[in-house]
Amino acid sequence: MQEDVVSIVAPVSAPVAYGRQNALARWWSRPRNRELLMALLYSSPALIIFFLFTYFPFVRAIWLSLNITNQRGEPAAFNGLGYYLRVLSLDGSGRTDYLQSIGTSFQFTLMVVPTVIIIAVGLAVLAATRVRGIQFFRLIFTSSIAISLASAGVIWSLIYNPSSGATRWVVELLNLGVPGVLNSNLTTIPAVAVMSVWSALGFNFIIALAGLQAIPEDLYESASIDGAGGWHKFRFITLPLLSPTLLFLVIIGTIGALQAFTQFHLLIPDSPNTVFIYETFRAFWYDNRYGLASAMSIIVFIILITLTIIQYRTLDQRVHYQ
Amino acid sequence: MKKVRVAVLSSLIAVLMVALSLVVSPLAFAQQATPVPAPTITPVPPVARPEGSTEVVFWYGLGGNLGNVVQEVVNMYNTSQSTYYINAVFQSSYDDTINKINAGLASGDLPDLAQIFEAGSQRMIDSGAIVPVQTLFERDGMMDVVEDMEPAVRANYEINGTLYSAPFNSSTAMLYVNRAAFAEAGLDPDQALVTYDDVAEYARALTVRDAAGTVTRYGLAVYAEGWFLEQIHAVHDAPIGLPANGREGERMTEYAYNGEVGVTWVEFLKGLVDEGVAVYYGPASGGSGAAASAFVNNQAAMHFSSIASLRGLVSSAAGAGAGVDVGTLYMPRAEGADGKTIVGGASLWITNVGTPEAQEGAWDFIKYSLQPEVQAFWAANTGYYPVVQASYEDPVMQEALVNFPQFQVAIDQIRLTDITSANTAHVSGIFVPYRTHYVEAFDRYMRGEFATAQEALDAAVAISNEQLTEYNLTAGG
Repeated sequence: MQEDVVSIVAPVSAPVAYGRQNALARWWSRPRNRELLMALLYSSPALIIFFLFTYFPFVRAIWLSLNITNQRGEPAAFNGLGYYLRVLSLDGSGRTDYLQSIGTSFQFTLMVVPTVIIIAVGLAVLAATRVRGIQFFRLIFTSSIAISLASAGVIWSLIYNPSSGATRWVVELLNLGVPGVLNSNLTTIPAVAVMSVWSALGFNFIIALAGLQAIPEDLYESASIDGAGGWHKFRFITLPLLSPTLLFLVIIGTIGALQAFTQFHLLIPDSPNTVFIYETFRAFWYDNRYGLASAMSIIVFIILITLTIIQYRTLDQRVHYQ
Repeated sequence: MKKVRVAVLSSLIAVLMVALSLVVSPLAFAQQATPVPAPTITPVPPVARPEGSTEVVFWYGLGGNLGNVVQEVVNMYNTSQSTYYINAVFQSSYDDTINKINAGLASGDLPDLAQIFEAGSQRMIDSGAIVPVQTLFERDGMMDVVEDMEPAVRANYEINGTLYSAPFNSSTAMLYVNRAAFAEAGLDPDQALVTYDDVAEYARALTVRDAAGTVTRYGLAVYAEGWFLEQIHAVHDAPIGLPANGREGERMTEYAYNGEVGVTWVEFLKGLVDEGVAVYYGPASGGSGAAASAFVNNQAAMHFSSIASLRGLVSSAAGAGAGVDVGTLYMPRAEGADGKTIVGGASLWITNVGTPEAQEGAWDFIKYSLQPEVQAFWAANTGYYPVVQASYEDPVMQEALVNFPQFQVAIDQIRLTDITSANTAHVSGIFVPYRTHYVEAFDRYMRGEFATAQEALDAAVAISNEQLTEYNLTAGG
């Protein structure tokens, strides 16, 4: 308190140094500021890690994306927005390769996200019924969560391998004229999507099942008394009350599908038709164009954040929270 | 209520059956097909490091049987002396080795010694992180070893007058043929120099269809691979990059593989696939495996691969039991072209990041690896030919040539004509990326996304040059 008094009286004619010291003391004397400092101190381990491994690389990626880099990955020539224009095919070269891969990313996401959610909710509805031995089925439906994407990729590359013959019927049915489903434009991305759906099913199933089990039983009972059938109960009770879960799954699923990498790396590492994330990896790892790869990752970031905001804004209005 | 439960349970079982069938059916099918029996390769363990020895970290990119022989050579060296200890670390492939070095230039994580393929030469030179081995050969008065090197091999690694790296394992591309199928069809498997027309004729004669008209054996297995494009340019003595493949003092400034040689080659392969006498297995890594598998199982009678694959293909063919007798021919070419192929494989690079002792150790291992008997052991156990000519006098090598006459075809092929800059590997800072651009364009053409081979190659050349210009800009050339 005494410090406070001094600080109020002194500034009028105090020398500069004294005044600064005084301001510091005044700042320190406020409990809120002291709390802020203590808060920063206690959160510093997390902040330092975030700064080092998230914020700093992010800012550096932005800087790199504006430069052509040398062999050591250091900026060597300023390139402005050149890489962004190149990726978005606005540089007048008429080359649309990267733009096409953005299209493929969305195509892949549209194949995977709705499919996996519909199947997961369907299975969850089945698995939510109380019959003997249901745990066994719940375990089976969940099992793909226990298989890492890398292992799943190896399993599925075996399934899709022309010499294993497991998917030969698809090749013959569609008359593809190539040895395997991964060799045809018609089936490459759908084949990777099938594998991704299978792989994501376990996680989506668990979340959907948990959402279902949180819906109070009495709602169904009273609906039954009102004469509602199975479909009506699903449509007017399950679906609305499950909508927060679905919103979560849609957002997480979309981000996951747009960032999908492992399955492309394992199933179609050399395919010309691949997703934007994989093209980013190629630009970095094979082409050593760190600037270009940085620009591409920034574009992914912008796409993801925009999509998430749109999804959240539009879908959130339709979500019913209990 | 009970009815409902039964219905639920039965639908659950149905779902389960579908899920099960998904898992089981591939296995069932797998038993019908006859994939190559995976050779059981147990990795060769490294020998223990003697106390007080200087460790030399060595990155290499050969896996499987070839990788084992690398470890054996390293073990032989490590037991032959106790001053240095080579710690050989497998990097999964040539591509990954150079990519890891590229990344290591930024992070500082580099080995003392690295096995790098010719695609990495320019980047290694530009890195400023290497010691040109020529200075060491000269320092130790060992230029006679360089003089004794296979001329085509020496030329491959001697860039603008300086031998930067020491050749270690040298190969070249071959057209593998099933001699048994050739005999059946009345074709001559000993005529090594073949034209595109010859191969097309062979492919037609070797294609077998069953009663229903389904092909049971294709004439030729095709996959997208940049190395073959380089080989084809070499046999036609046409540079793939200008000026002069980057070998006559000036840095390469543009790729030119969209000329007649490249276009004819790609059209030739597509034509055979369209005709139904060749089968396309897709881009490089997956495609080459599938093509090799088809070849040894008598599902394709001809196959492109490195001479280094010889031993592997011979033993896989024996294991598959489909009666395939492995033979080798030169890479096919247009009428009248009689050029040599390019030397493939890899060389050893010494980096300057380690201690002087580690650099000396790396150099000592290189000297050891170039001894005639070590090269003979290496060649006889792999499929590479020796990089020093003295090895041909070694009994081990002489025996290998008797047992595997297919080797001789490869050696003859790299000696076919005089060495020029056009039939030696080009030197470019974007060698690895150029290959992916070509492979991608080739694959798109085969998938029907490009109407003509010219369009496909023009697109690949355009993106290659975009990147090459960028590289040269930052590399200060």
